[in-house]
Amino acid sequence: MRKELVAASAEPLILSLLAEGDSYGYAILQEIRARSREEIQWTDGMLYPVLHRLEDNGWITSRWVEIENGRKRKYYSIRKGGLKALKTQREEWLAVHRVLTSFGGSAHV
Amino acid sequence: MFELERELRWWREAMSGAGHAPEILAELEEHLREDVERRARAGTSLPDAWIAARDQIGEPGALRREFARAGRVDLIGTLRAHQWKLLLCVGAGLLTASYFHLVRPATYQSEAKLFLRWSPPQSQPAAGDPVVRDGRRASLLQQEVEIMSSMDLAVRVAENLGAARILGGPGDVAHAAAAVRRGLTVSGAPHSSVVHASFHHPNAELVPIVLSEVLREYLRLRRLIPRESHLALPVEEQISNVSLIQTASPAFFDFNALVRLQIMPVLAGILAGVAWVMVSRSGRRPLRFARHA
Repeated sequence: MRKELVAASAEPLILSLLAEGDSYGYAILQEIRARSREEIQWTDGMLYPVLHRLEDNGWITSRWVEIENGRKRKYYSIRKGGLKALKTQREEWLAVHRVLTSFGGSAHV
Repeated sequence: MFELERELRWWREAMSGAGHAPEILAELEEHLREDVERRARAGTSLPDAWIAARDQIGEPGALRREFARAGRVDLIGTLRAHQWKLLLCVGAGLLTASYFHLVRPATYQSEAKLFLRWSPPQSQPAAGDPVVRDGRRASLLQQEVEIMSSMDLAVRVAENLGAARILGGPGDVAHAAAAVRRGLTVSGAPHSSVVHASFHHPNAELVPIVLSEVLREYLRLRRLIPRESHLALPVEEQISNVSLIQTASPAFFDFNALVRLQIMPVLAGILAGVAWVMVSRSGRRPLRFARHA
């Protein structure tokens, strides 16, 4: 998949995933890889800046949770603003999807 | 012999050197640990798992650039996300402005105009350089303005009228003189022969009295201080040239007070709100790290 498309889809995908429940960076990466059947391969370094930007936008929030042996993991949760942003972004992506699928015949070219 | 902790320490040092915040480092380190563990569980040797995980997360410099690029948050979006902070500060500014508006006493003002007769000295050529003559005239006018608004004159006015009368209560001459100077505005346009003097004060009865006294003292001082002969100011005539001192009237539009007491608190509120949003945005990570680490 093209780099630009991967980058553009990062926000709605992260927000969609967090809308299902709290999660943390590594798990988000694994989940997206699995759900996309390895088609979407985010680099690890790409994910965290996006997560922090979403947090700066006030769409998600984070908290540190102790896991084991004093190790801590940063969990992210979606906020009300994030759900709103997700709804908007989802509608945009679906609109593109609708237009693309309307060219049904050319899809087989 | 491979040591994961040592490798992690070196990695942390390299990341710190690239300017990554401690909280970001902590998050990425936990990510690395988990990735190494997962790869090791899948059968990869620990050194290979470490190299693969480290490469997957990226070079410190490249990662820093990614964060910098993603960190360019839309200012309007950020402010909207934290709009309650902004609204709170603007509200506080508005409340302060309203308070000042309510508690500020009404101000009364009297005005007077003083005509300074200009008589070019006979020794100067009649068709002299007008620029030089105008410049000299402006300088003389400025001199009169300075005398009228001087501390010395204010002290005399305070002594004549009494400090208690000016201050509306007990107080010394210095404070009363300061009140006179604070309320007194004297100005003269460079090419004009007229000096404008005004005095404002919350006490309507006092306003014309103080202004009259200021003018009287000014004329008295003029008699005492030697002047250049070409600025003709026959004192008696000058007194008649002082326009009728207005009856004190509420100064309904005081621009300085408006800026100082109404606009400034609101602006301060807006600035404080923006600063609060920015500080909370940039300071959030280190603060949380300190709390949880």
